[in-house]
Amino acid sequence: MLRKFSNSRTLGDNIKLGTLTAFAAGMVNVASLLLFLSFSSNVTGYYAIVAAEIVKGNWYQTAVVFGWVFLFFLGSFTANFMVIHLNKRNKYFAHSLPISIEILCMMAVGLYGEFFYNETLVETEALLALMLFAMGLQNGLTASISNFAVKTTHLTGTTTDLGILFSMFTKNEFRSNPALRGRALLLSSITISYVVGGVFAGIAHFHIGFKLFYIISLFLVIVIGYDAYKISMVRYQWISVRKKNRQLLTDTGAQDNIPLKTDTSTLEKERSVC
Amino acid sequence: MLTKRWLILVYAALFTLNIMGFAWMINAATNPEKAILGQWKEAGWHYERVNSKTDTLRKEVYYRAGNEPVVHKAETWSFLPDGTLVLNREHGEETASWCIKGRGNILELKYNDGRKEHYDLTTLSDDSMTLNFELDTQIKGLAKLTFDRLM
Repeated sequence: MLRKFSNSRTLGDNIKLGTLTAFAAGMVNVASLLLFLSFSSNVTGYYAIVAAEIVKGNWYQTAVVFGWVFLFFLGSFTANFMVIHLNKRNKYFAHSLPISIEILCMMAVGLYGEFFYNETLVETEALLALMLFAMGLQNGLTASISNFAVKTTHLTGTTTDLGILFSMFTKNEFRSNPALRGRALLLSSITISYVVGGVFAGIAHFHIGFKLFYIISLFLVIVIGYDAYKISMVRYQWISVRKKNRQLLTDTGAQDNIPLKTDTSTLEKERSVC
Repeated sequence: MLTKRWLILVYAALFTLNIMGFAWMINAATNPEKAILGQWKEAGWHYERVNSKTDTLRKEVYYRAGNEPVVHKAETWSFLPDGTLVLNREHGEETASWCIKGRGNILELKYNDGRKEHYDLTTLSDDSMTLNFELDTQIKGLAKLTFDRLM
């Protein structure tokens, strides 16, 4: 899900990444709307609000919204910065670091909200700022590693693309195109997942309040944990094969003369993973 | 072509400029949480986006808000710094708690029975305040309350 980059990613990788992160984004957006009465994952509307607030002369609101938009931008910048600068050292680390920071942000919002939040305006704005930064991180990362195929924090582009795709499907030549069908499947999964996440958050918030952010963090842990598990499994298989080969060589007593047999496919897998 | 050092300088300058612009705007503007403090007298309760101001429509507006009729008439609202709102009515006084949410544009009132009301803080100046009663986060402007500052 996270360890592959750009064109080496399969449709399955993108669907897994897209659905899980869209579910988290849907939850974050609805949670922020219900708890702080403001959106936290879609910035399109905020550009319009900045313009409207400037016209009205509401400089306080202009500054706040400008700050939120800038933090979303900064999140996206940070995520892609990490991906392109740390990719060569360790691909998995580079791709999971932005999600790890996002988890920290979500945990911070959850813990602060549960134990310290006094509903002052500064607190509300700061917590929203943290959420917008986290959403920028998530959107920047998913878009960056999937070659802009997966964007999960807002659905404007997704809905537009789905509209185009479904209109294309009215012609048989496009309908039978596997790439277009795959894209439609990916975008539909993201949309459904986002909405389901939002509905879940809407119901859960009434019962658990700020604890909802722990659930969001858990989902993000699944995103990074899935790949960590895959990597450790491949490593384990590789070590087992090596152990078996060594044992075989020791048993035959020809350690120096017979070349070491290795499972090349496992080795290749290991290389692609790391 | 920009060298790496120049690039870092340009990025740092842009970042600093953004932070400075933000800090300047926040300091120059009045925080709505402070601007709202004081005593306000209800000056009017207007209905918008209705074709005819019939009682039926009014009732609908009241009841859709939260299963309970929500009518504020000829009240004095006192916003205290500790987050308490004192509503002085003809037949007594009621307290609630208040807070401002969103980007400083939503006034949330919480009554002692758990009832919540949300108002869009449309105008907040030294001498007047306009609140748009919110029935839903995306629907507003059905009912508008205007206030004059008393003190």
